[in-house]
Amino acid sequence: MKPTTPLKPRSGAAPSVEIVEVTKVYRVGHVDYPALRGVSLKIERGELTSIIGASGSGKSTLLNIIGALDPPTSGRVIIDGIDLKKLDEDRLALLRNLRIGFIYQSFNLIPRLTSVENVEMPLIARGVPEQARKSRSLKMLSAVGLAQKANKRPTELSGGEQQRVAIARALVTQPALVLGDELTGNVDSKTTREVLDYIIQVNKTLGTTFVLVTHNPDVANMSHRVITVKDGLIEKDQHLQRMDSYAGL
Amino acid sequence: MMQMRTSDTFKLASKALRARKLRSVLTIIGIMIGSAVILALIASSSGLSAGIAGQVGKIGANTLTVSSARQFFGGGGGEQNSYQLSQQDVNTIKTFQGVSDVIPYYSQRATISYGSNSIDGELIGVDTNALFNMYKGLSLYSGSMPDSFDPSAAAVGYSIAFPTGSNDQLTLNQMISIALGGSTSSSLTFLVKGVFSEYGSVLFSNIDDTIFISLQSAQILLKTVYFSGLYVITDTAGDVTTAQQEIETYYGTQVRVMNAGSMVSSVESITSQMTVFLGSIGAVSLFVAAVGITNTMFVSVMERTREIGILKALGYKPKQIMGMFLSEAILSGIIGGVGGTILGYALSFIIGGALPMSSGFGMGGQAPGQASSTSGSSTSFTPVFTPELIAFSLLFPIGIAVLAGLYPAWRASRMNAVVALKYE
Repeated sequence: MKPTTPLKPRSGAAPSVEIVEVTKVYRVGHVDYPALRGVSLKIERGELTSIIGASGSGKSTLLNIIGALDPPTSGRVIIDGIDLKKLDEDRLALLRNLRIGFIYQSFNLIPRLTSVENVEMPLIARGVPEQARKSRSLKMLSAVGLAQKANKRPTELSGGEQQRVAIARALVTQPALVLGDELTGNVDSKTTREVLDYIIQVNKTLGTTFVLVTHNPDVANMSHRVITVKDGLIEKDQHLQRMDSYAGL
Repeated sequence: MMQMRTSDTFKLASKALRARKLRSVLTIIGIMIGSAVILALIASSSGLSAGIAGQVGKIGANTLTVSSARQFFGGGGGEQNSYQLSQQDVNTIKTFQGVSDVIPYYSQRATISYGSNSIDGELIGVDTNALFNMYKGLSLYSGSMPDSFDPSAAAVGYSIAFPTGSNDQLTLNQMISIALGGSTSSSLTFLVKGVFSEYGSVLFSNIDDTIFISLQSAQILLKTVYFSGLYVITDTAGDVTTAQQEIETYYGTQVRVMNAGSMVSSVESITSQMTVFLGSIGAVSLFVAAVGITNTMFVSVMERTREIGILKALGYKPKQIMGMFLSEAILSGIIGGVGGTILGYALSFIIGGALPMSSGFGMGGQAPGQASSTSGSSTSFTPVFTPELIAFSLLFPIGIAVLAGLYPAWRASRMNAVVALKYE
């Protein structure tokens, strides 16, 4: 797998992600469940960060808040220097489309669409003409080694192949920030190795910021930084020696 | 940044519809039926209206018909007391202001037979010279008009001489035999002297299925001096109202007087009520279809909750998501509207054939004292399609589909992304 064309450098030197005193409380009936209890965090551009923690620790909530999918109950979220509080729903959607890519454990592909059509989806939202988006998507699919499966539907693909389609979809817009939620959770070890290798390469060559929620120690080990979340708070924030390749692990 | 293209929205909508074919087809069939029923019913009833108005119009704006009031209320004991029109009435009405001529006629249902043919039609006895005054544009196809004093001479309508689907055709001076409706005993024989050109129907009598004999012959053969009705011709169209009032003042409720204009308007009021009634049946079926769309859309939105979450994560704006779902409803509406219009077009011709305008009142009354006949000639009508009606049957289902899809589509667009993504 090879990274595609370099990402245009973004102006300004603001961190990729900055969250300040963020809390998130879910209310079920009359009972409040605090998921985040005041988290502050800065993730620099080009950093590859893992977030680990037990189930229910708040790591997925943190990821959704960083991804502008879920507004915090209090506190500030700043992505690429943009304060999300100032954005209405349309602008939040625009921000997700332009700057953020998502990769999920369960792939979240649209079942009735082929691989290439799934990869095209974020480009359709921004009105890229069919020819242009198709060629970009095919290029992206061949970058993840799936050129031959461009016209297959998700049900005709293995778990690993589906995850690579999902990665192609997340990267086709050349986002500055890619968020992964247990992205190796549903794939075998060989695919995990391939996927992580590819992420390291994209991170290295394009400078894309990655924030990956994971249970997998291998994913954490290849990161620049590992943040441990416990009971809605950051328990530990470790900076690691950067791995150039996952292959050696 | 550019906006999502409308063509892409519709492409995605069409893929979504195709992904659940059976459900989409059933929804579309619902819309089609609604649209088809509206189109067919409205086109048929306006066709019926136009057909009747056209027939009534043939008798001319300066013509009144006078008939015994009995005909309106049917047979039974009323016949005994009913007024019967005689030569004296002809003379009386002739003296009224603005009346230029009064033409009495006899009319009787009859079965006409010759060779291997047997045709249900009508026998009319009238001053044959006055025929061309009664029926505007009537002309002879061949032969000549029968002599008023020849009791066995007749002229026949085109369909009697040339019946469809029969090789046996009538020639001039051929004998034809006639059995009068309601009477098994009388069978009469006539010599055909003339054949009329194709003419069509007037006041629910099909001239093409009619045999004309002289007034005197009819009087003898029907054994009555009382006429079935009178044609009153006025000097000008403006005299019609005055003459009608005069006749009505003189006779009271004993006779029924009709003029072409009032017949047209009474027919139109009946058919326009019919149009509204039938149109509302169609509207109800389209409303049912709309409920079907809403239901299908809600199920679809629920089933695709996770997909909606994905779209949100990929950066689709609420209005884009709403547009995608609404497009599915619009596409169903377009296909249903087009299909329904085609179906309705075909259906209205089926209705036009199955619901013929039946004859049996107006000109085609029975001679007094004769039992009424159940057999009657009939003429089918052509449905009328105005551009407005076609546009309505194409666009109305789309409008209904949009309304029906609006709320489910809005619900889809307002869904919480995080919750939607967790939906199993």
